[in-house]
Amino acid sequence: MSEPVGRTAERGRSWRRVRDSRWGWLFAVPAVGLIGGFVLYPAVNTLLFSFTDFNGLTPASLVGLGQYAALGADGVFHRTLLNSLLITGAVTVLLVCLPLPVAYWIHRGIPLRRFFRTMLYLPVVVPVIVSSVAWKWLLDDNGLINYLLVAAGVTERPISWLSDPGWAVWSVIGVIVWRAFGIYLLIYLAGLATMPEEHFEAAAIDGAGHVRTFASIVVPRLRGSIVLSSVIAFVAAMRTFDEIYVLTEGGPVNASKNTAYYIWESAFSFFKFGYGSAMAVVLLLAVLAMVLIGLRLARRSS
Amino acid sequence: MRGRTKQAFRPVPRIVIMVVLGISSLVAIGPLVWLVSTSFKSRGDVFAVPPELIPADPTLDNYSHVWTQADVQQYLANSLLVSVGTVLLNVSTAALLGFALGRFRFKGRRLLFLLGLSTMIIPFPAIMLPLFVTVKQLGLTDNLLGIIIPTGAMTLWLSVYILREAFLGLPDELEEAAVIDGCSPLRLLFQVMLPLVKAPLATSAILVFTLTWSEFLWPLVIMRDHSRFTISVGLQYFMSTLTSNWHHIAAVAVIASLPVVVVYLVLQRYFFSDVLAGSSKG
Repeated sequence: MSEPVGRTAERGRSWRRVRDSRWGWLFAVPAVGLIGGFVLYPAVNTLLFSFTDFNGLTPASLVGLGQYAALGADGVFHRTLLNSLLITGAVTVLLVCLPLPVAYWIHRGIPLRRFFRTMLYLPVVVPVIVSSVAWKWLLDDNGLINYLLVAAGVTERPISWLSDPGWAVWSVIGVIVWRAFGIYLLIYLAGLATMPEEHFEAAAIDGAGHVRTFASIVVPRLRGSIVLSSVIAFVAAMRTFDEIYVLTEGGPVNASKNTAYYIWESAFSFFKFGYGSAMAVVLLLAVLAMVLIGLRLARRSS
Repeated sequence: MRGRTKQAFRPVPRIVIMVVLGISSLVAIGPLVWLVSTSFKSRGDVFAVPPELIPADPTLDNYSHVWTQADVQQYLANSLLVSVGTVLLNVSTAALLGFALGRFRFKGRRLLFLLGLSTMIIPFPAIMLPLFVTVKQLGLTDNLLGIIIPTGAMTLWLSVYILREAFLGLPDELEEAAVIDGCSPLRLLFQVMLPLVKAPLATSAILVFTLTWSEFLWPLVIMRDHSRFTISVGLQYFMSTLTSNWHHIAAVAVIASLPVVVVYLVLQRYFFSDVLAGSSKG
């Protein structure tokens, strides 16, 4: 490397001129257009729609906060909000906790680990509608699960998993957890892969067992992954639609209907776009508030 | 030491863990296996008592029936076009922005990144109604582009995130040499840098492909014309018209999953690649 110092410096400077120039924005234009036009613009329009009585077809007139007042008096809407919170709460807790020990076992080395990983991730890959159809068939009154339960003597008559008001929403929760488990397993495995092996060796030398290693090293060190999982699971659960559509259609009598489903139904079955938009604003605010609170709590505890 | 990590668990806990993982794997694939099994049964065997996991006399009739009777071929072609189109739009746009965010220092890039990241937490149903109105005004309902463009936008930030990390990881010397040689930023991107981020490009392409293939709500909303249905919407429509013909429904469901399952089993290493590791550090 006998190159003159001046020349290297010039190289650096000439790139820096390009790097700090407007070229960067030029490359950003297509993406900004796409996000602006098809995500942010509709988001702003949702707010505008919510102050109107728009029916999706003919010109609308402003009704101020009328749609929000109607929401306040709509018992079905309250029911869907509660269901959204129930589904989201249960799904988030289960999906953040259950894959953690599994990721630890697979990462620390168990025979057939690749096979287990492949199998556990498979439900993520299969289209949501297909897995929902598979479960609708399994949970049918004449389906395999009821056959096995009756044969084993657990229950005398088949359980109506999808049309019993007590069970319907829990069936939806179970199917979501079954389907998404692999995503969170993957996030934890990726987090564990960045963890230096010395931590485990040091723990072993200190005589720490697996339970202690897991509780006092793995969980605290995976905090970033756990926060990420919580946010992803929360947001995904709040938008649940496909499973409800296939399994229960929100029934019986709204027992498993969530806000996302009610928005779709109001707009495309009853042409109440203004009303649906007001619900959408509430949904959006709820998600934003929960994510911000969650991130703040995560930062404070660190 | 290596031997020690491999044997991290003593024999008894190891067997217990393997049993737990074995049962979990069974629960994970069981419903899908049952679906495949049903798709090979004749009408009479579907509700046979006791249920048969492996059909006593398997048949391909269900497949030949749905392949010729229902519009399954059209649905599959639509899904393929939509998924490939979305991947092309998404990955090309995301590569440009990932390059900009990873290698340039323009004003407002942090704000842009945060704004984009915030789109990932917007639940789709919350923007769906105005999006429907916009797409209708553009004349894109009952048009595959009406799925491709919004889906490309909704999934854009996943790829931007992955590709930004990839571009950030490249060595600085690349640009300096390229600029001295009189190479424009465009050629720097296409000839020097893109070939170096092939693996992350493949990861985001596969991720977006599987997500788009599985997309249901949006195609359901904007497609009225049956010949424009994707396979997910088609399967749902098929089921709503033939409620108890589980052997036929199962055959359509298996056909709908086959492309993505094959992609998954063949290209598995891209699903478990380490690009995700960066996302959990912060």
